[in-house]
Amino acid sequence: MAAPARPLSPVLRTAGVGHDHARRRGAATRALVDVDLEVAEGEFVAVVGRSGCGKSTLLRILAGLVRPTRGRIEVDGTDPWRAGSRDPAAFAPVGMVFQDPNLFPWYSVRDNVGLPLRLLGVGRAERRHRAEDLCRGLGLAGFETAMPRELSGGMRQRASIARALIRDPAILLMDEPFGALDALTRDTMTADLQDLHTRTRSTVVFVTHSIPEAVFLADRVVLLTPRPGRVAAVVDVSLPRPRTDTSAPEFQAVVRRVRAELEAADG
Amino acid sequence: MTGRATGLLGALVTVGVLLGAWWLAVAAGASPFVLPSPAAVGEAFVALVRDPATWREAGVTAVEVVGGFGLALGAGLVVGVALGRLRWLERAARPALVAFQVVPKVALVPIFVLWFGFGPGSKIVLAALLAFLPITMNVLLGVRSVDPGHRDVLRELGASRWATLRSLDLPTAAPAVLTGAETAVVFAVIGAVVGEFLGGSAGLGHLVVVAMNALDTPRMFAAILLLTLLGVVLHGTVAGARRVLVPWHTSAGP
Ligand SMILES: Nc1ncnc2c1ncn2[C@@H]1O[C@H](COP(=O)(O)OP(=O)(O)OP(=O)(O)O)[C@@H](O)[C@H]1O
Ligand SMILES: [Mg+2]
Repeated sequence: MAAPARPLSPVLRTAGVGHDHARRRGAATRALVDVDLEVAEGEFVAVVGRSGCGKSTLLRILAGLVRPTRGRIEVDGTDPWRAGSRDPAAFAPVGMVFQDPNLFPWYSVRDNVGLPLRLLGVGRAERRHRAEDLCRGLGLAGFETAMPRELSGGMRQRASIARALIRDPAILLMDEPFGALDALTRDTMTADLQDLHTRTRSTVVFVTHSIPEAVFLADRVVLLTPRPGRVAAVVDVSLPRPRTDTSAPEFQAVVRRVRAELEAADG
Repeated sequence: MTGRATGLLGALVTVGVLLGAWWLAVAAGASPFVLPSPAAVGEAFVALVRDPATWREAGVTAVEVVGGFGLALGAGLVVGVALGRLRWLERAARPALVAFQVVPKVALVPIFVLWFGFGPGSKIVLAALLAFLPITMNVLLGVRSVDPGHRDVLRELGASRWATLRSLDLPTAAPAVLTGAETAVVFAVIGAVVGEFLGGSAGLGHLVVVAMNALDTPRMFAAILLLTLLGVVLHGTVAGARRVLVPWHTSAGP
């Protein structure tokens, strides 16, 4: 079978996107400047940069939670803000894992994970069934009916990942999803995410502070400058998949290159 | 010893100390017209409880309290949510709210009697009026305290306004609303009883006035005790609702 034709337009695009966060007092915070980014269908893009450089802001813009103060974005070739307000239908294929788990304390883990399905009108039995399946896959077996406050930080984060995955979003935005995990769980989850991406061919934009993690997962690594964030460099990672060996010299070479670029961007 | 048992013991000790102090004051020679002995009040209380007429009066008061509280809850929820969600409305309504807060509502009883008559109507209105503000203010606070992160989750999922209200605003506001309701139900009892004092011919408050006019102090104390019990039961019901409605919240206890 022939390889599928490359889409004419990328699934995600930012053109000259900049953002100033208004503040209660004082000048606005300039978080992003002139970000031009194109993410092709099925592509895995990692975003790295200093704390406070605007990574979360960028993801929030892509999820339609923040309207950029300059420039425009496209999701699947259309501008979701064209009508002047957020078009929920345009953002429907987008799922997000937030930097904070943001679980609802009044719902059990199972109901938190199933919430996106409830909003889609899926019945209770199927919701629970799928949520429980996903919880097991993410190492939350036995905690399906627990309340969020009974979970550890890392477990909460995994529950929030399950919530994002349950509706199989075509575009997945992940904001440091593995930040609160121990090294071993983190390795497992990273490998699982690679499998998931290979299996579903979903498009992923993944924010992380770990350069090896970015190199392990991504087709391209986007480096942002310190605040205000601009695209300092984009490093292509052409290592073959599935990637397993992080100690291989080829892998280490890419890691070194990304690190060097990042240091250069820091100026 | 479990926490519950310790609590019960503490409560018993408190009651014992109060009764002891009371008994000492009587023994020291307080006039029975001013302070009847615990035994006399106990006797009057038993007589009161045995009399079916008492329960009719208690029923009247209970209906007034529950009616007033229900009205206040309904109105407070609507007004509180509206003021919490619409900042301009809150700014516009603020002077009226302040005026409402400072006006001595009890002084309005003659007007209510004029408008709603000597029956339970005027008492229900006063009870509702007293209970309205604590509920409204707490609903407003509750609606405002929505976590922006939670709002983001629903916004990102494209949740409708109705779904957001149901999954986020109401659960967020619930603990504060229940706190308001706990205060409000006590205020509603005050409203009903004051209404009965000033312009009534029925209810436990009226019973107190009748006993006072008859210089029957033990009976007066017994009627007040009954009123207190009514308040305790109503307050306990609302407090119990917390454990049922917001079991996930820390205020609901373990
Ligand atoms: N809601 C907001 N209001 C005002 N300023 C904001 C807001 N959100 C972010 N900022 C500012 O924008 C800048 C970028 O924030 P952002 O959260 O995007 O950084 P980040 O790259 O995700 O950082 P980290 O790696 O620490 O998560 C910061 O200086 C921050 O103070
Ligand atoms: Mg961030």
